[in-house]
Amino acid sequence: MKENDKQLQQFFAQNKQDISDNGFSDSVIRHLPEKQRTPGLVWIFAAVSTLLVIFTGNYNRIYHVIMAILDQTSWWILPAISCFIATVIILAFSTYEHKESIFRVPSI
Amino acid sequence: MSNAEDLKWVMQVTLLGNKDAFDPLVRKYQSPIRRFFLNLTMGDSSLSDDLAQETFIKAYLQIKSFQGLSGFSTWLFRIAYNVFYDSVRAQKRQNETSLDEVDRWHSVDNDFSAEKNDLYDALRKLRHEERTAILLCYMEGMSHSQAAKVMKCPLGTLKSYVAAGKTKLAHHLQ
Repeated sequence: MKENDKQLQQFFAQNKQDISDNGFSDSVIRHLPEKQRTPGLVWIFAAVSTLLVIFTGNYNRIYHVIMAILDQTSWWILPAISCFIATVIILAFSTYEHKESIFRVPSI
Repeated sequence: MSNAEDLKWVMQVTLLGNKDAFDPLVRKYQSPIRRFFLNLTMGDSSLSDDLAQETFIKAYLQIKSFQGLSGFSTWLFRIAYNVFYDSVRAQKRQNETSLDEVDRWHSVDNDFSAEKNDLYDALRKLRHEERTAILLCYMEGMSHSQAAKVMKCPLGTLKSYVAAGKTKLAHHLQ
């Protein structure tokens, strides 16, 4: 058995080749997708908009607009919108989990 | 480049989103990964390069799932193993052919040296699991436990693949 082992090690050592790069790594790096940075952008826009509202002194006006909308709408509109948003978030998360599982990358 | 250095690059990609930090990892592992595919595909260099590229892209996209419990190379080979068998399954589904026929396609139109032909003839004698186990342990120099992690099978099963492969190869080489 040990002789077999030696013979195999020799055989594979003889046939082991180092493959030269020849531009392969550059091609891989070029094909790497940009990672999604949408959440970061969303936060930046949210922060900039809030600062704009505060510095332009429009918060009072926005408050009145919101109150006017709430006065005119039926009582069930707010809970319905909340449920809709919750459903969208849950769906988004479940799709994301599914996408992760497709890759089947090991956690080792 | 040591394991610690691998981890350093992985951290830079993961935490800082530094795409360039992935470059040294690709350069370090391109040769073993492409060789692994080249041997699995019986010398089909263009297919093995495509599969290697897919492996690195998947590794980059999922690098956050690397927990560092084993080496980066073991994790990368596990992805490569999945990529290869996914492609074999896809080919099988398209053409409803057996794994042996997939091997025969791979061997067509490849210009091998006599030495390479010896290697591929020998590997063709093995079942797919035995071939993968033998390549990981003898060609890539992995330990049995590392190879078992790559193939996601119990250590005992891996050892039985290696033993069966060794017997067949020894018989072939005599």
